[in-house]
This record gives sequence, C-alpha cells and structure tokens, in this order.
Amino acid sequence: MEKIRILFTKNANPSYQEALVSHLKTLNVEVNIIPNDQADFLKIYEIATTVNNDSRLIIVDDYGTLPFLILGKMQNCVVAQISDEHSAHMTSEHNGANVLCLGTELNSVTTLKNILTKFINEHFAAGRHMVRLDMLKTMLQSEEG
Amino acid sequence: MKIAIGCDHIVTEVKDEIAHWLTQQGHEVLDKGTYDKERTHYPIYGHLVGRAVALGEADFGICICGTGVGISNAAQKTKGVRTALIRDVNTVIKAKEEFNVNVLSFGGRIVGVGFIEECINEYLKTNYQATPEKELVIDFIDNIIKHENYDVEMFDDEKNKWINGYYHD
Repeated sequence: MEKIRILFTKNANPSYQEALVSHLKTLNVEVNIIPNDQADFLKIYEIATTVNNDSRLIIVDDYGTLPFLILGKMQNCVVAQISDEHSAHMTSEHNGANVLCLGTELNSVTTLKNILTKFINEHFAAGRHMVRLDMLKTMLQSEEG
Repeated sequence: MKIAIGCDHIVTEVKDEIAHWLTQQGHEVLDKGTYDKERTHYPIYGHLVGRAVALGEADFGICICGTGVGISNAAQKTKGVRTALIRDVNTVIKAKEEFNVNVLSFGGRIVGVGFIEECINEYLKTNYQATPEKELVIDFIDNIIKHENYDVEMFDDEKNKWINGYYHD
C-alpha cells in the first residue's frame, strides 16, 4: 500500500483538514499526517529531503506558493502547484509529480477531494516523458554530494 | 520592460499570442521558444526563461506548458528564479507581495489567453515591499541551490539520447 504524507501549513484553512484526511483514507493508501511544529518554511525544507517516488507528499497551504518555491528547488521533487482535476491526473501521468501543493484559498473541499483522487489514482507513464525528468535532474547535478 | 517568455510544443500558439500582446503593450519580448509544434521538452524552455531572468537579461519571465507543472519546475530549478504556477489572480498578487516572484508560470491547456493577460497586468501593478521577515524567507529559498546552473548546453546528453531513440513509449 502506498504511503502518502500530508502537511497542513499554518496558512491553510484548518477546517479542511479532517475532510481531506478522511477522504485520503478511502483511496487505499496509508496516510501519515506530518506534525507542523516549526515555521512553515523550515518545516517544508526539513521534509523536502525525504521525498521520493514511493511516498508522495501532499502539502495543503493557502495558495501553495511557499511549498512550491521550496520543494521546487530540490532535485528529488517534481512539484505540482495545481487547483484543477485535469492537471491532477496529467501531472501524475506525464510529469511524475511526487509532491502536490494545494490551496484552501483556491478550492472548495469537494474540489480538493476530486484533485486528491485523480492525483493518487494515476501513476507516471515514463516512456518518452522520462527525458524531461532526466533533464530536471541534470539541472541540479552540481548540487549532488 | 524586458520580458522573457517560453513554452513547450503543446502551447506554442498561446505563447505566440501572449508575446504579440506584450509587444503591443510596449514591452520588449525575449521569445525563448519553442517556435513550432515539433515535439520538444519543457525543461529547455523553462531553463532559458529562468536564466534570462536570473542573469538580468529580462526583468521578469513567463513560462507556459500544457498544465504548467513541468515548465514551472524547470524554471524553479534554475538558481535565482522564484516562480508560481498561476490559476488565480490572488495567487499572483500574494506571490509578488510575499515572495517577489520573478517568473509567472501557466498551464496553457488549463487557462486562456485573456486570463494570462489579466495576471500579467496584476503582476505589473503589484509592488513587493521588503520586510526583514520576507527577506529572510526569500534569501532562504534563493540559497537552496548553491551553484549557478546557467549552461545552455547542459541538456546535450539527453537531447542526443532522444535523437537516438533512447526514450520511447
């Protein structure tokens, strides 16, 4: 069973949390809620280094911009700052996105549930799309080691 | 204002329309491609726009691909770039006010030309006012990548492998 980690930033509307976590648990994934015990930017960076393709990460924020700005700098992360259902499945399939950044200022709970379902239920197609992931990795090759 | 713009082959016509509109508005447009519908790769153009902004050749940048996810990641992985993937005007305003973003990214199959124009206008109208708290976070973001990555030949290996059929469905 895939492990999904989810973090709610301090700017996220707290009334969304219970409904989104409950919904995730219906999607045949193991859900791990990350406690947010630091300033958002420090907490996001702390977990950024642990992202991989076996355990996708979801961050719920007000707009998703701060998590995107931090996680988007990492070699191990492809980050989708999205707010619609089409992007949700396309980014899993074509971009191999392993981080989803959502905004409670952008979507209703219902739409966010739809986005979570479509993101979780789709997986990377690899094939010709792999060249783009290799290019993204190459961009940060000099950061290794 | 000098504005760098780039896209992948999925949305070339959207990029062309926005570039034309920007020129009509009196801006100098640095069109980084792609220029046709031949299949290509969004990291090339996200990087070209990103490096133009980071190196000061452009005042800010615009990146467009199908959903915007791929090209926004390429721009953001360029040292000195701060971008956000936009589908809402408030996101533009907050991203400029709080993080002084220097590239706007869009999904050309998700939003339309009129909305992109609206967002660019809002971006240009919105001022970033520095505070120590904001500067701390921006400085933190800008220093996650340690090394300059502006070499335009960095993708040559992948481009050659693509030509030679290494990547296929």
